[in-house]
Amino acid sequence: MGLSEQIRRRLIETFKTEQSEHVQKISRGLLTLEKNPPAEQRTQILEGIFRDAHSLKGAARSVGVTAIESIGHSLEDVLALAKNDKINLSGDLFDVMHESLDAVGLVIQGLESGKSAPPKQVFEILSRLESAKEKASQQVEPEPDSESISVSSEDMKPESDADTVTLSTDKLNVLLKQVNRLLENQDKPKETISEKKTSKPAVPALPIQPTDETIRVSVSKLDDLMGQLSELLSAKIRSEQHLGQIHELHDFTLEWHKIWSDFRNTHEQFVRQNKHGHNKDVADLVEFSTYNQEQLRLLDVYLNELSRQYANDTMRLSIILSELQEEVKGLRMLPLSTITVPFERMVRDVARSQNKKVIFSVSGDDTELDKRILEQIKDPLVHLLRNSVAHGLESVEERKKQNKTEEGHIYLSAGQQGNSIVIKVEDDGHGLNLDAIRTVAIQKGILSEVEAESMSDAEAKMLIFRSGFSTIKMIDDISGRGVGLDVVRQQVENLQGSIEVESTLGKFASFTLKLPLTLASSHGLLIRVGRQKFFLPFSAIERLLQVNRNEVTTVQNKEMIIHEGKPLPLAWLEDLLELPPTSRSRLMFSVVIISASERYLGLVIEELEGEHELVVKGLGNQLAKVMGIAGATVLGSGEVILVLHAADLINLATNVQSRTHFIEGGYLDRADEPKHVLVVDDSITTRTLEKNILEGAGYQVTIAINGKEALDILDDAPLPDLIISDISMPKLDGFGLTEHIRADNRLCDIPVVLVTSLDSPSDKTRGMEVGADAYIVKSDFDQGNLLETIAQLV
Amino acid sequence: MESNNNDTDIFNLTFEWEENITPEKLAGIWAKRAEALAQPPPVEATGLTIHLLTFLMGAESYGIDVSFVHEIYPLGQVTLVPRTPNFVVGIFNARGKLISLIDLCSFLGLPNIKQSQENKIVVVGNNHLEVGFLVNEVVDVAKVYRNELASPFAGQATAQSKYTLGIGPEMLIVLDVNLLLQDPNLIVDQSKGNVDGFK
Repeated sequence: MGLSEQIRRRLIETFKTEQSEHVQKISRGLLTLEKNPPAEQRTQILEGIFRDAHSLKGAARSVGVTAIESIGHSLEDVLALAKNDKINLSGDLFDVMHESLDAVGLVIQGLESGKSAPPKQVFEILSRLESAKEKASQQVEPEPDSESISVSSEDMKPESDADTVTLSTDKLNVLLKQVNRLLENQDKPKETISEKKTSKPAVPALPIQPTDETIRVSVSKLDDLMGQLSELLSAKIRSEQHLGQIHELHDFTLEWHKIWSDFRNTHEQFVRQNKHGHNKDVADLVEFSTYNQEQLRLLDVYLNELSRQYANDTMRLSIILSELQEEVKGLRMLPLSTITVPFERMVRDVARSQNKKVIFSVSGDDTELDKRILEQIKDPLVHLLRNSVAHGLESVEERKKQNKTEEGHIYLSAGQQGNSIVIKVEDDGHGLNLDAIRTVAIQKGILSEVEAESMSDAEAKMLIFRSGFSTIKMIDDISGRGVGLDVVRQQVENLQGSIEVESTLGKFASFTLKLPLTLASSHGLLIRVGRQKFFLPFSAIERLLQVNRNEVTTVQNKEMIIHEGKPLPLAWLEDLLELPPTSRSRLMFSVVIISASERYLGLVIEELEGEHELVVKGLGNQLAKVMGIAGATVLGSGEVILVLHAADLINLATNVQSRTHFIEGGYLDRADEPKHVLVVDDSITTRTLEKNILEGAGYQVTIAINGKEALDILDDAPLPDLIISDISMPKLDGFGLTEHIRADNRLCDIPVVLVTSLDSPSDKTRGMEVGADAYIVKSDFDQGNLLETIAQLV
Repeated sequence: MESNNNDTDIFNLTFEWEENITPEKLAGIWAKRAEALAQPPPVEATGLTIHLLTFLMGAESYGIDVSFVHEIYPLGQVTLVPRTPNFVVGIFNARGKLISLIDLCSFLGLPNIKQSQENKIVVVGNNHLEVGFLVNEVVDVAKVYRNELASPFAGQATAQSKYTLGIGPEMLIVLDVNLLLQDPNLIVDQSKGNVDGFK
């Protein structure tokens, strides 16, 4: 046995947890079956426990516990027969099956006490299972019209609540304490801050067991807890807003005080004059006024106290809440070692089957990850490790020839970097042969020869993640990579993660997976397009840029900018998501560079709305998967915000055509100097509005306040490219101005646009007569309209 | 003609017309017809009852089994979800839980529901799916007998008739919510290979 005793024990430990899950599910299923459930449910349960028996068998085989493997196998046989109605599940058969589950427990006990031989009962139970199977199957006559219910595959989804997380009681205790503190805070809102300082924590520390006691809690319960917590967070935000209202109320009484103090002298005079009560009404009024004064003072005192206490309580609440949030997030976290332990065995087996020698080392496997991420990252890691052993490492002879150690090395390392978890699989094999990769890509028609030549090494190594590349056997023989890597990439990207590869030919190859710390909460930017806001996690954001439209060029009808010396494709978020188009007549654009697995995209957005940490949820069962959307989140205000999926957006960008190109549909000729527009209007509002719109679209603007001034400006060169003029203006109106321009040889070629508040046909005709080129009515005056008109003329 | 299913029998009787029909024979037909028509109504208001939540969608009133109704909300903030089929209005926050809002009319191939302040959301669900239906107005909870329901739109296999359990009193269309919720077309899944499924 090549495996050390220590590894074996760890494997058994993992297997023990896993098998108990299967055994429990099978036993629960059997109990329900015994109650003769309706046919549909029966089929579903049979499906479920059949799968569990199968998994039990598989798990047992992988750790080499043949006794349990055989039991799992026999159970699977019986259940398969039952599924196909080839066998009657009688009471006797149930007994045997239950006893076989007990036998699994016995085998586990035996393993713990170090016995390698399985207990006698196992053999007995196996033979009983066999004979019961035979006996029962003889009883069943194959009935042609048996009530077999055909169940569609939709009905056979695995039970969703089945997965659980094992929590340590320590964590639960901490959580419990915090909940108690919250309760305490609720019960005693009047408690003053000084008292709080002196009082010791009200909850005595619960005795914490030195052993790692655990409770199994279903993940769905934790999700519920997380959901409730996010509601609590929005309640906290509302409570903070109320504090502001109390402050406003207090300011209000201060104002009242000020007015009162102005009035005080008059009041005191009245009090003195009416000491002897000559006039009853006046005396009453004075008394009321005195009463008012006293009440106002009290109100002020109360409000002051209230706002002080409220501020304290809110602060306390928010501190506890953020701690609580951290704790709840932590509950879903499990160390990476939960999945890496069986890897050792797997690497060994693959190496043996290939006659290779491998030293496999793992570091940082105590790094904690969200359970859901752990589950989904297992397969990609298995894939990468297998690839490393089978295709990355050279044979022993080859290594000797290369002056390398006989044993190949494979390193699996993990650690936290900022908001991400980074897992690296590295081997010291022959690395990626980029030339071979290029050649195969050309052979398979993925690339043209010209493309392959101009392709950088960084781009070439990403080819191995392309679908279609994976099936190529050639690449295995030549460079040793490329089996199912597109699948690996997809799985990683589904987790909002990314994968990168580094390699030096003949030396090493390393694959780096970057994954979010947790799927439950995410830190990122709120962005807005049109009227809809979206959330983009920082894990997907490389940089934020302001891009001038003049920097945009097109390559093969795709818009690009040059960023840090490299072309970066651009795409409008609203085009990718098929939202209504927004105004594109600005000069500067906000661009978020997003990335997924070394592919980059400049995402053009309308506005950044700030930074947030949010609890991300799925869109629910009905919206199983929507392209471009990773999930949704609820803001403090209760507003639901969609979370963007970077890898999807990058994929979409390669397929979706921009609806308006910067250049084609844009309003400027990029090659030229900015166009010069003279705006003539006597209304400062209209002038300013027009100036802003035009400058926003990249025009250079000069202002004149009437026709006379416009002519003065036109006397001096340089001439504008276009004139926009109001009609009714003092001194010289728009018609007069146009007439002058058309009459002047030097000016007559300049296009003139008349803008008026009236849609009067006679004005329009008059405008045409004097030689205006266009006529815009202010009532349908909007950016697009104005800019389009201008674009047609200059 | 002793059958209870008088509809078809009367219909069949009309086929006994011949070119040269004698008055006696005609009288016989009339008699048979009268007899068939005189049959007591086949439906007795007994048997299985269904409790229905009734609501308006467009001009029509619909009923669904209350046991599938989870909650009713006024129409509040709904977030549009891009790149989804027409029948998906969006998603909304139901006390911390996100639920899809479905325009059932659109799903059944009828004109879209007009959105207004008065709209309500009826959250329905079975074991594997929970969605909100956008409705114009929630009317009442009513009890109908299962055998009171007339079979709908004979011969028409529209999307709507597929999910209609039957037509109740006052043209109440009783929908089979459970069947509806199991329709795979209700699920939006644009995972690899399905991307163009809805375009």
